[in-house]
Amino acid sequence: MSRARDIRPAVALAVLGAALAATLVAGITWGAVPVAPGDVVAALGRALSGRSQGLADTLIVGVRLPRVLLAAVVGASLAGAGAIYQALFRNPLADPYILGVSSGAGLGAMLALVATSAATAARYGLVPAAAFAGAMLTMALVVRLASWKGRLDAASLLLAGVAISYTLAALTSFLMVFAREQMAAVVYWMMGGLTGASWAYLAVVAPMFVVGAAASLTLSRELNLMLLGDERAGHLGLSVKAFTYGALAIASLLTAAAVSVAGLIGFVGLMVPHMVRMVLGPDHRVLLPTSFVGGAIVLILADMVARTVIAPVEIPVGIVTALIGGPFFVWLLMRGDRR
Amino acid sequence: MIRTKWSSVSRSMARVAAAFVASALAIALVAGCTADVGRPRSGDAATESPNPAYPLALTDDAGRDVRIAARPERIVSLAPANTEILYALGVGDRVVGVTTYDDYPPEVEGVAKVGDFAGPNLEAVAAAEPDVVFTATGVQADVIKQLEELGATVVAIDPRTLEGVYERIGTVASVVGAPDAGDELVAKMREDARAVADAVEGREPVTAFIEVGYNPLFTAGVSTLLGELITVAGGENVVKEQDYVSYSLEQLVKDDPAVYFATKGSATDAATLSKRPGYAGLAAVKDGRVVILDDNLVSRPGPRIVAGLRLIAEGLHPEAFSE
Repeated sequence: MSRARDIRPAVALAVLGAALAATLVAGITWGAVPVAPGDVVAALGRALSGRSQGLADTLIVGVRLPRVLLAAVVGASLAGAGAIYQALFRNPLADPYILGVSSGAGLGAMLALVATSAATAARYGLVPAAAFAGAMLTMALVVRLASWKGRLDAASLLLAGVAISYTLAALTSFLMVFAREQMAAVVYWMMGGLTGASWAYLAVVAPMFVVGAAASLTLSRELNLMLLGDERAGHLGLSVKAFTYGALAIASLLTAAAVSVAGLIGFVGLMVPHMVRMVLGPDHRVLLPTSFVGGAIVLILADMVARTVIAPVEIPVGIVTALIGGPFFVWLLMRGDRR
Repeated sequence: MIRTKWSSVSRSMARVAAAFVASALAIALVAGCTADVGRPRSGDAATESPNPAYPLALTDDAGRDVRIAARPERIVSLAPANTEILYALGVGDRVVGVTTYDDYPPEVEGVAKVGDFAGPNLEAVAAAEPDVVFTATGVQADVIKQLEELGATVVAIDPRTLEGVYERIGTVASVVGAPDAGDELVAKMREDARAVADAVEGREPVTAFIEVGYNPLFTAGVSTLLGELITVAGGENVVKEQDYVSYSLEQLVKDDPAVYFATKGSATDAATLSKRPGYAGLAAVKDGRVVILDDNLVSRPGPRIVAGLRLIAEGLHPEAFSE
């Protein structure tokens, strides 16, 4: 029994890795405009040799590839951050937005939209940068408030997060009253989506993801200890406060990077770690890497649906993640109960 | 399905998002409005008399039966297109309330503001003591209901075709007792539109795309006024969907329109637009055929729509207008 359990993680990672590869291929091959697989390969080949030209090249290399890769990075970041938050707070409802990152990023985006009132070039760069800054500043503020009295526990973090979150959301709404013409842009930003995907976004976000993901993978053992509770983790030699700061910083970096380029995409960060946990158990040495891979797969697939289901019309990807993911999660829950 | 008469730049995104949410409602509202119900059903608008006979009965663009008891002396307009119609009819001196989006003609500057397009202030409207309130439909559906409850006479004007604009100008003219001015204005507009159609007559239709919002990319499909303007101006809209839709960038690259129109609210200039991911390869970008349109001309179903039509035609067939 225990032996069977031991090989499961390796098998699962291999299976998930193969699934990610297959999903990437599917995502690049399948789009609103049909392109024959042979042409896809040819286009990629020409891109590698730096001689891109023609319709297929623009479609595959200029539009579809950055979008699929961005979906992978964003999905992985959100799911990984969700797994970390769920362990830190020992709370199954924790998701990447639990500490007010969403409202901080939203306020940042809103300020940038107001500052660049028409669709100028500055907006493409400024909105993600402002959203990123808003997310990180909010996290810093929440952590600072929660540790005001010296300790840094889950309850005060959650409460500080809720308080700041409401305050910032109110500020955003207040700004909307005066910049009504920006309201739709803000609402769309908050709905989340990958329609703005570009190589430039990827070049900024991918390095942050690599750093955050690599750092988080070194925390597996400590995250397992955190599941026992702050006190017992402390008795077992973990410096809980320092560790919490570090883990929060990593999870926030992952979340802020994802949010800055894709807005608020729900479900992935909350559900993917649960899905993985139900199948593979709570050991973070397995849970973290599989959450990263699983999140990438889920968001690539969801975005494939979003861009093709009623093509050439697109729907926000957050709608897809919630519509398909919600029932799937319920099914997983019921299946889990029966066993 | 929300109409496009929001005034200044940057309104396109608001419009399309509202459309996203309210399209079902708007479709329901205009379902009863067909081309033949625009005309007043009674009243001798066609006689030589300077004023039509009141009371006047009509069906408006919200499908409501409206009765106008007497010539209205105090008029409130809750949509910039309606305001432009009223001033073009020469009854601007009777307009006592407009929205903050109203910016044309310049005289409208001095008129009391009763709120913005999406959320007029009911108290301010009531305080203006209007004999008639001209509204749009769609986002203003609730406002119409509330104004009715306050006992106001409301006429919803929201045409979705060029022909509809002409008809509705006639409706407004009848309601305010200026039918001759209405006939004159429509005749002038038809003449201008005819001049455009003549200029592009016989020319090969040019493929075009018209952007009303970016990130996500929103466009006007075939059943919209913008879509009709493209067709009349000698173009072929590459978008075959209905209404305002979120459009796939991949499909746009595939469609590769010869001319790329964008409304001011979503794009400021061609150089900026060309820097967007995926845009550098578009034929319209490479050939320098990106045209930024003034929303206020192409989106408001009012007197200046024919100027918008001409802008679009000039973008599609510059050679037809060069001499």
